[in-house]
Amino acid sequence: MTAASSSLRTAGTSFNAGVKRQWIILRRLPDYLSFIAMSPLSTIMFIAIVRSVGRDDLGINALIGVSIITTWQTGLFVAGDTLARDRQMGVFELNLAAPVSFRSMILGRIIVAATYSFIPFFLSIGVARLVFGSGVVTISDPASMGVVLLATWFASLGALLMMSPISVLSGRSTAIFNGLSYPLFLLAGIVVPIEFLPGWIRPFSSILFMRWSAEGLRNGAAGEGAIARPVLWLILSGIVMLAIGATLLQVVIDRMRSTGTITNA
Amino acid sequence: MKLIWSLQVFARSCTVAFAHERMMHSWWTWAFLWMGRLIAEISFFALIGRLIGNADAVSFLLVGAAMLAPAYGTMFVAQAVRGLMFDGLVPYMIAAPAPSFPAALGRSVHWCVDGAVAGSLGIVIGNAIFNLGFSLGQMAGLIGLVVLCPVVMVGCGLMVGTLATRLPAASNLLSGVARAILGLFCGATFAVDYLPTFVRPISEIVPLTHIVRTARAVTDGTPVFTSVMLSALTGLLWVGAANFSIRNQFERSRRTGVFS
Repeated sequence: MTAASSSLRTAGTSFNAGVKRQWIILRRLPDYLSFIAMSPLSTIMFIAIVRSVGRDDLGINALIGVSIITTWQTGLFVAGDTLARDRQMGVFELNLAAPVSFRSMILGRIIVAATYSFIPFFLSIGVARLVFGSGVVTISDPASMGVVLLATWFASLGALLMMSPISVLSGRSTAIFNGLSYPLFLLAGIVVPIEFLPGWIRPFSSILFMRWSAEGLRNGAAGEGAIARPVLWLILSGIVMLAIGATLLQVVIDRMRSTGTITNA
Repeated sequence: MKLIWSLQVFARSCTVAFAHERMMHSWWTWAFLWMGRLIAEISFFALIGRLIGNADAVSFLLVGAAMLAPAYGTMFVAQAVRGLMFDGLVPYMIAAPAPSFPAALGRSVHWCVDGAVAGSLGIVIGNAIFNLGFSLGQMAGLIGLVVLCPVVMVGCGLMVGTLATRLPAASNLLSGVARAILGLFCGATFAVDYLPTFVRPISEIVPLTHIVRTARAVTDGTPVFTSVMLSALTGLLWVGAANFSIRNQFERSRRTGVFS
């Protein structure tokens, strides 16, 4: 067996172990259902805000916005908290010392977290239809929305991998992840389009994948067909974030292994 | 004498709460990430008002979201309970002769203070950014209500905390659902009148509903006495229920040797 095939096999085994471990954690701890349980209530609240003042036309903005909010919060919470929990419980050190591909194992865990985080998305759409009727959730082009959703999944995978070195490195990762919610939602224009933001902020919005996700989903729902640009940006930002995340993670792991320091390394 | 003892226990519990906060946050994660996040949430709702297209909606959502911030803080008591249980501190609290209620009351005070600071800053910053034109008197009234909010809501938070003692692995779930219920049912984000009739009695028993109603009266320049009294009354009822529940639970644990 060549060194390359052996290393590929190790990576595959580590990836599978990561997927399996994340899935077991998700099944056993009810806390990871938090944002899924909150999503029906949040969906009703966001749509009621616009409908209660007679702006039924903004229902789809509210729905797409709340879906992205709960999806991102679920992904960040699940991916960040499980890694932080490993760190607190001393499992992390064992993983790092084991002769496995740590990076592949983390990737396996994050793929499960990213996929799991889309449950509230579909739940929000179902609840909106059930409570407010299909009129408020008119999706003219489901195929386009599906394509944008797939691209969003890929970009969120990149974003979560990019965040993973923070969980690995910092004992304050929960505090940091808490801060990565509403400032980003505001900046990305996920409910209120970025045209409502001051001009000088808009260039910053463009580097956030959520901005392109919201724009693509809104266009898909309206059947305007203008999804090529958002999808392209989502894929591009996903590739960039995956590359940054994988590189940073390797740098952090190498440093920890060479210095032998994990806590506050 | 017993009151002084209770106050001492409460003060020491607050010291532990702030020590916990210093462990969670450095000054920069607190100021920029935590406060930044809370103020961004308030601004996010105010901006939805701008999308809706009228100044009243901006003011309505900004004030509602500012009142929600400290109310959400009180719901984090569930996480504090989980922390105490996982750190193995609950048996010491049960064994200690100190009164249980003030010990529990002070344990999550830092989240209430954070929420009140963020809510107050949200009102001041929002008034300037969105040109809401609140007078100094209105601002003082609204900030006063933001500070009063966690005081009247603390009983609700402690009741969520007692549920968390039975389901510590679901403390985030309990706290999250409680926060979502507050956002939905208390008139902070849309008028309570829009809710179905059968749901409205639930809103009326939550002190936040009356705090939000008082805040609307402050911005509209209408009398506030009744809603302030109702917020205090409902707040006291919840504190009474929480006190009964916590004391009962601790006494049962002391008797049986089992905490559940």
